[in-house]
Amino acid sequence: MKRKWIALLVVLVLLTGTASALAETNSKTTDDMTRIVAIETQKGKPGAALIWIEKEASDKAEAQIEEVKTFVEQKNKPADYFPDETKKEITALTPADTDIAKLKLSEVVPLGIGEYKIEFGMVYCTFRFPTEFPMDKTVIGVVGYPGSDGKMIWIALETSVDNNGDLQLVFPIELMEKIAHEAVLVVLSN
Amino acid sequence: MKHVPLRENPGRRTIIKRLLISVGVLAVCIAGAIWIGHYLDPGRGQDEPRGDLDSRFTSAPAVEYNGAQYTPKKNLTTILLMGTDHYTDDTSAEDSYRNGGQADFLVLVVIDTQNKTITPIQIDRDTMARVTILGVMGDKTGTRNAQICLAHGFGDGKEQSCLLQRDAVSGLFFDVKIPFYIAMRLDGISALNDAAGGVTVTIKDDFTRFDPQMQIGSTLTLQGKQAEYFVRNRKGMEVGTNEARAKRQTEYWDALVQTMDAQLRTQEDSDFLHVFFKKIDPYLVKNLTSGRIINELWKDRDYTRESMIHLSGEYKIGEDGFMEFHADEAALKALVMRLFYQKVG
Repeated sequence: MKRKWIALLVVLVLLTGTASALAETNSKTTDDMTRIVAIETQKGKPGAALIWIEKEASDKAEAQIEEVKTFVEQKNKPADYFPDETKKEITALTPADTDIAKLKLSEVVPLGIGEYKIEFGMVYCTFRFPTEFPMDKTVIGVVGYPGSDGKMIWIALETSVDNNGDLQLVFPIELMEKIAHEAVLVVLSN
Repeated sequence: MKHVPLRENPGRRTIIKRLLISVGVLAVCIAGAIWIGHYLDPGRGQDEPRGDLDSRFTSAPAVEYNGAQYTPKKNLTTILLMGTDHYTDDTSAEDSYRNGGQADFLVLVVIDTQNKTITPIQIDRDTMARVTILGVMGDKTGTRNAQICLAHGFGDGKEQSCLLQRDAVSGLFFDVKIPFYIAMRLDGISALNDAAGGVTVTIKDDFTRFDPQMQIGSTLTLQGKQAEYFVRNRKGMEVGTNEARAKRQTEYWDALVQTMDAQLRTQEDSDFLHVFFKKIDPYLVKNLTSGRIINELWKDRDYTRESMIHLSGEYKIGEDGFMEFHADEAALKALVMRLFYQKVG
């Protein structure tokens, strides 16, 4: 008898929960189409988020995003925005037959960075963008962050496309140790 | 015998010269006529679809449904009506290709001139459909299965967004042709309401925090902002879902149609429609002229107004925490076949 009541109570709680969730669900907007789907670390489990997409970019990140967009709007090749060292990294991380001059600017977002500890190792982050990337597409993420002199440092990341059309980016330890707020992620694709 | 002087035979050069002058004068006349036309009616030259002449002479491809052959009905005018969540002075779409604003209200109006019917179909903003995605630089980067209202969010917030929204709705309805669209900005709701002389509804939710007059149970002729409160708000209501709001929008639609119908049936001419459209035109983005809409409304004033159709399907919360409406594909196909196709033979 007692079991019956407990089951009934569970059903009621579930129903109430579903009803209130349905009632107060926010209306989805195009901004909500960009989000981080999963974060994993090589070792250990961070207590709080390590990487997130900023809803409001800082002034510096916003200026950086505008600079990248303007550069491309002026009919420049997106890859040419980056210093030679970064361009070499992009070449190294894309398939051998990739002409990086032909890569287009697909996405650019401001990133928030949490408290990272070296024992976490590499960070694997899955991003979902409005664009659903086909698995055969060449895609490369490039992260920028302000160095000690205020100038942006750009690092190309190992990037792959998963079954859902999401991007899996690998943030190496050396990057996670240095990167801080006001970071920007640029995604190039063919 | 009278002597008729012979005209001097003009040389080849003179003929060519005269020909060139004639062609030049003709070209100037045509250019002048076009310019005057545009000057007198600047909206006329824009891309109002004129119909496809080829389709009049080629038989429409038949489709098979439930073992029978069907062809598209020919006497249809299909218009997509959109209510977007941006105000007219919102300039955010100018900075991005992804700030066009969501189309929170979507109604596909099917005018059947053969059966003399007008059928509105309301499409929930959260209906899942293929939506064209624009990259940050405005180029098409693919499609994604998403809430259908998001299609309008891509593009310029004007014509481009409307076309993307129209394509998404067309795709949902198995690629039916939707030649026309009319989108209205948020501030247009009040203008539309007042242009119609106010719309009378029964208030079933408590809107007193927006306007003390809007109490549960009262029957009120909405004025100005009250109309926007009525059709737009959902949070903080007793049932705050999009589904409940869509029902309220249908109530408003029915009352508005009733109000407009009363005028259409009593007025001797369409002059009042000209006044009506002049008031709401600043809030509209459309690909057909006000004159065309007025003619259509006036011509169809005696047509049977069918009740608003709502797609059947299932609501659920997606893995991202947002509401999704999954239309029942079989029911949707049946609806499309009934409204847009006719049985062969």
